Amino acid sequence: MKKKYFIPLLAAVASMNFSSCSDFLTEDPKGQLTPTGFFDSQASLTAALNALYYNVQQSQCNSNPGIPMCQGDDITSTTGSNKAAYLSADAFEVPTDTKGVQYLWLWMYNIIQSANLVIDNAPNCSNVTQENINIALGNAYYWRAYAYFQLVRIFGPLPVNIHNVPDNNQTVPSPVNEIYDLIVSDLLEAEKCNLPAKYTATNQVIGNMNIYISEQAVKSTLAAVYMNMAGFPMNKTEYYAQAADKAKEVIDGVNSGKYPQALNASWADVYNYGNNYNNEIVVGITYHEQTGGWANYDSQMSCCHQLGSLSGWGDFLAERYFWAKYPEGPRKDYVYAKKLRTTNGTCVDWWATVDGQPYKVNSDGTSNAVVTEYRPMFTGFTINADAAGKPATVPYDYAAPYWTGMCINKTHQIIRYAEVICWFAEASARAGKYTSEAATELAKVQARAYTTAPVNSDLATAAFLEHGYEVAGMPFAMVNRRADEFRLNILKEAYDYRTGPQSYVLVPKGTVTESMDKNGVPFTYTTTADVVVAENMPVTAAWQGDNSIYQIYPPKEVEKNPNLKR
Amino acid sequence: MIQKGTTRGATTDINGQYTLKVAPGSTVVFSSIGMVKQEWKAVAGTHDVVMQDDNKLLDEVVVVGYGTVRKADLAGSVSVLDGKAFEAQPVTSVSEALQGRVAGVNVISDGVPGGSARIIVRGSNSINKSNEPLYVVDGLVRESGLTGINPDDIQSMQILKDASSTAIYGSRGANGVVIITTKKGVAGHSQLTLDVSYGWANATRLPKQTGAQEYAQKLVQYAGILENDVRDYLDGTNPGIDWNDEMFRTGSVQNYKVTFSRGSDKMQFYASGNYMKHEGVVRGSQYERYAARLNGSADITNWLNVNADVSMSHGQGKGVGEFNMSGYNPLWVAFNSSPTMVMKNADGVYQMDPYCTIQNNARGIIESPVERRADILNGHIDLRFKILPGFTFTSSNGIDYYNFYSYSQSLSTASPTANTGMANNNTNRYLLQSSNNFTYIGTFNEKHNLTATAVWEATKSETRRMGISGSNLASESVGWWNVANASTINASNGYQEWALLSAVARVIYNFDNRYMLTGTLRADGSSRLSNNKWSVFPSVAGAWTISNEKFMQEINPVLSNLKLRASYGVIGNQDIAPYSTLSLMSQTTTYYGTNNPATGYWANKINDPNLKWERTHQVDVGLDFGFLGGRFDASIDWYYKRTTDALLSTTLADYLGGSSYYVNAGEVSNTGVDIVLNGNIIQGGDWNWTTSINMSVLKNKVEKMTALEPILYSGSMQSIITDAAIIKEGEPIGALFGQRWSRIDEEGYDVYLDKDGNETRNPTSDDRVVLGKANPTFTLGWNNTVSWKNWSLNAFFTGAFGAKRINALRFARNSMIGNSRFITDPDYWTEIGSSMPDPSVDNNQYIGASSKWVEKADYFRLENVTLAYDFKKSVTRFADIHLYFSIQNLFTITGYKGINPASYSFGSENLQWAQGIDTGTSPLPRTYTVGARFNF
Repeated sequence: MKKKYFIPLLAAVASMNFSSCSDFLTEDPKGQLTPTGFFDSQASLTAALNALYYNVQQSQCNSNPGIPMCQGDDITSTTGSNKAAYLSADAFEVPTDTKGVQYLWLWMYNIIQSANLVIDNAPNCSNVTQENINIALGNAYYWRAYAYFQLVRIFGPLPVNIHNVPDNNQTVPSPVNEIYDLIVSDLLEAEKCNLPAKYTATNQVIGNMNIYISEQAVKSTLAAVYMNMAGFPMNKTEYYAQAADKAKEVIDGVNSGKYPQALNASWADVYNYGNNYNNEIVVGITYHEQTGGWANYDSQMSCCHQLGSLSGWGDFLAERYFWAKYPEGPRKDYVYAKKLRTTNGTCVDWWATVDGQPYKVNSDGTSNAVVTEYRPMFTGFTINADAAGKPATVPYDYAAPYWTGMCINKTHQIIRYAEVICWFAEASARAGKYTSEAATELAKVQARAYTTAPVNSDLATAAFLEHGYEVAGMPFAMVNRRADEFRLNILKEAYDYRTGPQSYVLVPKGTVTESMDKNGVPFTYTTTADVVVAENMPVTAAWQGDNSIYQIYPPKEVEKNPNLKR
Repeated sequence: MIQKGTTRGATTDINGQYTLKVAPGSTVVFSSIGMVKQEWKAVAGTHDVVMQDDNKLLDEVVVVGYGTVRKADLAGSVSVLDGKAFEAQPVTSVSEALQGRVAGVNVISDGVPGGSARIIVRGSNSINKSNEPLYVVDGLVRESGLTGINPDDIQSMQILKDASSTAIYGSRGANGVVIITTKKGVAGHSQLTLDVSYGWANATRLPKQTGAQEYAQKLVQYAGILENDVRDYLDGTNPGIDWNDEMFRTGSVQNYKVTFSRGSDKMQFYASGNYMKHEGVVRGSQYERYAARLNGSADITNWLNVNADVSMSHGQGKGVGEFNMSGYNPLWVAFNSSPTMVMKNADGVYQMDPYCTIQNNARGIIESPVERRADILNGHIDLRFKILPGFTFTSSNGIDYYNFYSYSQSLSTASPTANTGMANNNTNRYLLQSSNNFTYIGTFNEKHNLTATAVWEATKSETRRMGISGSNLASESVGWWNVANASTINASNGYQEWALLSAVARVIYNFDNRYMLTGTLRADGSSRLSNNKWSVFPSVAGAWTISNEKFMQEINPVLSNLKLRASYGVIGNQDIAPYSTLSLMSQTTTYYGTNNPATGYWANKINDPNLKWERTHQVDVGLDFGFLGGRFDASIDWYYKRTTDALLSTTLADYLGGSSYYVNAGEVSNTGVDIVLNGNIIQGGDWNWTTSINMSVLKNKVEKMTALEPILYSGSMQSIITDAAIIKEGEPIGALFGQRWSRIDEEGYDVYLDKDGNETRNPTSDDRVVLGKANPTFTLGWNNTVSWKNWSLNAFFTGAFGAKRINALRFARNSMIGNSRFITDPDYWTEIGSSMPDPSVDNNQYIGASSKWVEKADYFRLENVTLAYDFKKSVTRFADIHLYFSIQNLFTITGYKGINPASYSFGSENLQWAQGIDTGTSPLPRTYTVGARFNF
């Protein structure tokens, strides 16, 4: 009978044994990494850079962060549809739908956060060569500077995060000049890292393009930053000289063969999906579609330019006035669709009407336009479909069918060499140095853009305009058209045009026009009146100076940190 | 049966026949487990006895944590749901059995065959963490939840609600505890039961679809589509697509259950088997369950009893697993798809919608092969030692094993741009629990009853995950069975474990069946916390059975029971993910223009090693009444719960990376009243009517938030609706949030009110206000059984009142917004200018998070009506036969315009935050079931 006392005791002791080890409650997160001791090899350093590039890719993986760029006079968006956020930016309004500011802010700061980790840890990373530490640091400094540069031109004063230290939501935004000091200091650090002109390792280079940041990229970006410091809002014009110097280092490097990223011979190659990693890209973000579904690592811009009535999304539409002023030539034919290909395959001019009569909008909102939007169309992201319905790896052909899928491998061109030439020409002209070299270089850009190149009487203005034409319709270029207008503080001119009569003649009377009637039958007619059409999105908000130029801080951020006031 | 005052007795045979020789005039007592004892003065000849169900007796034993207690001794608040309450209805899952049947318990299921359900006991306490109750089956914590349990195996369910009952589960008790007691063999009783049922189901309340011709006209008029492109729809030669027909079908449920039990004094045995197949009303959705259970209990010696229990289930689901709040929800996509589109091209490829949704074809989504398989095994062995009179030691050791596989394949025909791909995933988890329980039960001087319990328990759970996926398959015909066939292969795995150590003590004292006192104390140590692993959870409860006082004896025949209860206690919630208090790096995967994935790490998480347990204080005061010897009874409970140090996920500002981390901040309160009324309104004779009503009133409120993040947002979906639900001081969890809609102005724009009450077309984020709450204030369940001779009719009603929802699906169907580019609701066109904007104006603000789309979600539903007929074995010669015909969801009375006023979108991360946002949930089917139950 003693057994019956003994057994439960044994069981109790056994169960305590099972559980009484002191480490029973200690966590061992198998398979997970902690930052302590993480940076101990080339592999870990590469992994940290992979996370940085993951965030870089994310920053443009859909059109949301491009929304504020609709302020520029090149881009508007679809009215009477689902583009309220885009239209608010286009019309200089405070947005009701704040996704544009929210994602631009978040994703740029994500770049900053992942760059901070590398900057703070790479110098002490063990088991890595100094050369590779420099590559890591150079890339991290570069992208941090890039992110702040994007943010400061959209939001003005910014909260600075350089060490990822929680701040109890107390950080006060730093003034614009301090942000530029940080940007320049980061870029100079990157420059000191002696980054290669051309990478060779996997995942650092692809085709003719560097994926990682090259020395040429750092210097080109410095030139762009200096030009912005010379312009709005700091207006320190002495920086034009530094911009010219830095751009010249790039130009000289290219001309001497030191730097590989140079002009494509033909404009057809600039947005050619068949030459996705082309030689002209100084800074580009690669994308790669994997699943057919949306991911941070694929580009979703494929049909963002396409008009809604032509199976596109109509995110970034072409403003008619900018198109009308855009000089004719091969470049225009690749930046804008020369004709619009309707759903039955007939190609028409954008101003074509189904009855050959002047454009007329009826009281119920319908019109006699063949293509309802009645506007030109950018094509920078548009891709043709091949016979199998797959993306065609050829230059965009307006007469061929569109590829209507979404996720694509298209590289986003952040800086092209043609832009650096424009910056060189403009900065040199404004600083009064290297002007003849600058004119020679600019002529190269113009030579491939025009059938007959123009003669530039005012080099600075010419270079400024050329840059705008080069990046027209590309909201994701680091210096897009909005950024150009911002820098010279002429966004108000775009506002004034849109609030004015908008009477510019877009297409003169007597223009031979290819059209299609209601039944889909093509015909040609000659316009009997000037085509004068105001932009669809009315601009009604009052001009409020800086508050019309800068976007609001994301409201949730203000909720957390009430110091975020401009 | 036994002759009173003697040991002379007999039992019935398998046919219910008995023989007992007694002298005429002696008293025979008939008894059976779960039945009311009957006495009979013997006369010569045969005597038929019809036993009555006994679910009213106060001697009824209630299972509470780590023991049982007589209902009369209970000082806390415990609801008991007997298996008989749903036995007569075609319920296929345990959550369905709970729905509407217990006061204070709210069940919402996702409507997917074999899908999930959310069960909330007395409101949500925690802002970020799970509000699911703890599930305990026969003493073993079941991490696998209620999935895989055959409802027929359930003897009873006890829902512990107040702190006195739940504090015994300490850190895991704050959300209530559902204790399931399964059926066992009964001494002196053997039984074989077969239950077969078959049902047909149709979806109800589907959204109206626009005809293709009308839609084409509107496309031409408002979307600038060329007439030529939609010619065949305009002239009626192409009827277009009816998306309701594309997505739904007649579903079916078949359910086969067999149980066998037998028992002698020393050994009892129970076995059951179940096969259930449910073909959902959404095409392609299907769930099959195979379940088996074995239980044996034996007295090895006079001081040792061994009980062993094993239950196994295999579940197999196909088709869409959840209809969550996302643009990929196929119902959302279908209801936002144009009728004027091509379903498949000549190659069988599902086509995109050129005019409205930008998502892949909804039919293509549901036709993609998906399979989920779950094996769940639960087993435990309990050794009970009777050490000394009144003194027992029980060591209960068990395992909860869960093995889940999922398979999916992306077909090249799913969409024009689809990539082929496949994935296999496995999650394997086992939980081990050892509970060691010393219990003393004693009575002193006849009036002092004491039950004392001490428990030492250790629990450990380990989860291992593995997954492979591949894209761009060389051949689709290999399905998901050859990853080497993929041009890009990804693999992932992971491990997680947690452990809990606990010591428990409880004393239940009863003086003279009049005064009851219960005290509990539990100390829990959790691996999930770093510096504050241990915490203690006390509770105390008292009760006074007033009806047992001498001064009440006179009215006792009428007021047979009157008991006042009060309890207070502290309970916890440590349900944060393992490793949350460690600083871990985030992993990323990216591609640099090639198919080779590149893995990255960044430190975007921060942590608080001083994190501690969330604590909920609860006060409960209750009153139990019984009238006419238990013919009518009622109970009412008032409670107040306040959660402090709530585990709150706080996000850094986005400029610091927007990292989320847990802090102990925030307070939440829940106040409510639970009322239960039961009555045998008509009894005896041929006619019987029993009714049972439970009602709950609940008010949930966020009392305190942090200054660092005063408002938490949820309810956003792909820029279509944004921040439509918030957590904010003074509001209930998941309060609806947005703009105040005013009217349609003369030019056809939506007009809203700004914060000063002025009209504006372009409201800003500062203008938003709270628009309502998502939780019902009042919920109701009403169960009735009327019987006449062998006929019986059961009708079960549920209702909920006071909740509002943002009908985001209706918004998207009536707006041109985000990825829903055109209007698909046929009612829109006649409302232009009155409630709907003119679609041709330049920049109307279509805002889903606005009062325009807030609707009341009150409803009253006939959940189930069952008509049954019983054939006695004496008639059929071989078995009692119970035949029934049942209709589930016969009608719902509601003003809500969405598909189902009581469901919400599952699968979103902070489910309860966004529960008021309706993005297209699974419709509630109306199911017609015929069944037969044989009792051999």
